Amino acid sequence: MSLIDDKPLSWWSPKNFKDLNFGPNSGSLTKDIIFILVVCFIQSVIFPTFDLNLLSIDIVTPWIMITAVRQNAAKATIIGFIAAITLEMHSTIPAGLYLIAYWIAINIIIQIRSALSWRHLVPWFVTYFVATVWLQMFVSFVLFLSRGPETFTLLFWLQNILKVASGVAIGLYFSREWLSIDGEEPVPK
Amino acid sequence: MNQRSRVLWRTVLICSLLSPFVFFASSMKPWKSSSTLGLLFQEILYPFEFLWDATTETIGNSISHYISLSETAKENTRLTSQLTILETKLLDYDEKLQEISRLRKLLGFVQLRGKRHIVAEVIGATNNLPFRSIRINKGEWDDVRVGMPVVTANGVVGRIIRTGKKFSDIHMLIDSNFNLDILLQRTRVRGVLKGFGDHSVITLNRRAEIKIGDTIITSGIIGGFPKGLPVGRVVKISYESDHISQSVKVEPWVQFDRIEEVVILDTHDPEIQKIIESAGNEWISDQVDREKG
Repeated sequence: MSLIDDKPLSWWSPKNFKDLNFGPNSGSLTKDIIFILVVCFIQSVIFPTFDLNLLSIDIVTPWIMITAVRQNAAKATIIGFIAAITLEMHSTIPAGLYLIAYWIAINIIIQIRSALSWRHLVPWFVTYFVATVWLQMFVSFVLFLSRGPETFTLLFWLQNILKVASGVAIGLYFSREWLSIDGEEPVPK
Repeated sequence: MNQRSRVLWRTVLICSLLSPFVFFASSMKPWKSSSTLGLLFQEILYPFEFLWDATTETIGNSISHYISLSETAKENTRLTSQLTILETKLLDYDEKLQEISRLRKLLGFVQLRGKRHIVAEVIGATNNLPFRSIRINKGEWDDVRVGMPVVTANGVVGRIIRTGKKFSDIHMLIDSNFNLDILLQRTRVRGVLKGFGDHSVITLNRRAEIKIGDTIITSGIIGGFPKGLPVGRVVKISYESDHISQSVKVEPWVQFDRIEEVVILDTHDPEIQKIIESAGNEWISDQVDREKG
């Protein structure tokens, strides 16, 4: 073995980053909690820095949907709860709005996940699409109740459309490893 | 999944499907908290948020500093002449300030200058259109408390809604859950201002005299804001279909997208704060409505 091989890898090396297994289902609950906090941080702190009203990208929803498909029910609920509370505590969204929206979505997926084959594109696509649309519709309904139809400006709808599109796109990117022919079945036995 | 856990998770599913009814029955207000446990994840993320803000600010400043360097010489000349004019004006203002001070003493006003205030920097904001909020770099360790009014030199920004150890969140004037007791500066008509996304709205009696361009100020009666702080100006008046009231659209003086520093006023009234925290902000508007009869 050469001297170069013996040299320890620095902590920022690509190999170490790969070993970190950054993704919606790392295999450890502690890691998953840290990762969901990182994702919430990206969505609620980093994206708004760019100061573009239209830059509304939803990465938390697809992340939680994968968690709901991949994790056992209790872990998925805990992670969904942490994500919802983190997002709600960082804005003036009515208390419980994300909590309820994510709780319902997670529970429905837990009930139906074993009946679907997640090695096909369609279930993933439909899951992301329905989940993001459900979230936006729920928020819109709450806004309609509290403020009336005047809130629904063109910018608001454009933001929502972008959130749905980004949610689906990011979700499909994350779930690409299960879409291959020889990919493992993502639902736990 | 065995039979028992299947039944359990179906029960959980039913509970979750029923949960929106609980949500709609609630007051639908944002979380108000100053407890460490409630803000646990925010406390964990705050150092990173602070670091991110500091980094982006440094990079942004370096770029803008480099770009603006060529303009500095011209700007310097312009500012020097402006300074001369302002110094002359200042002499006049000093005189007027003394006059105002004397008049205030005579009228028994509580002077805002006597109150303690905390200057804070904006370190983050959410651009989620209907529910925008601002995060600042002062918290409980700096004596910031829930309910404190927040202003800038242009006018009212909002109220503190959550306080972490080193950060706080501001409930903005334009948020739909925000209410503020106000006065029309010209006619002294009182009303309750409500946030509406990117502007605010007041519903007044149709007979109330009001016109486009009128300035709205804080009434100082309730909610911790001192009297006379500028809030916004009237930009649109529309009559309601009930033929009794008129809806007044108010454009805030503060440009919420461009706030960099804010001033937190320590006009904290612990008694009123307790009432607001337990009864909710609706209590203010209820009291005002009752008073109006």
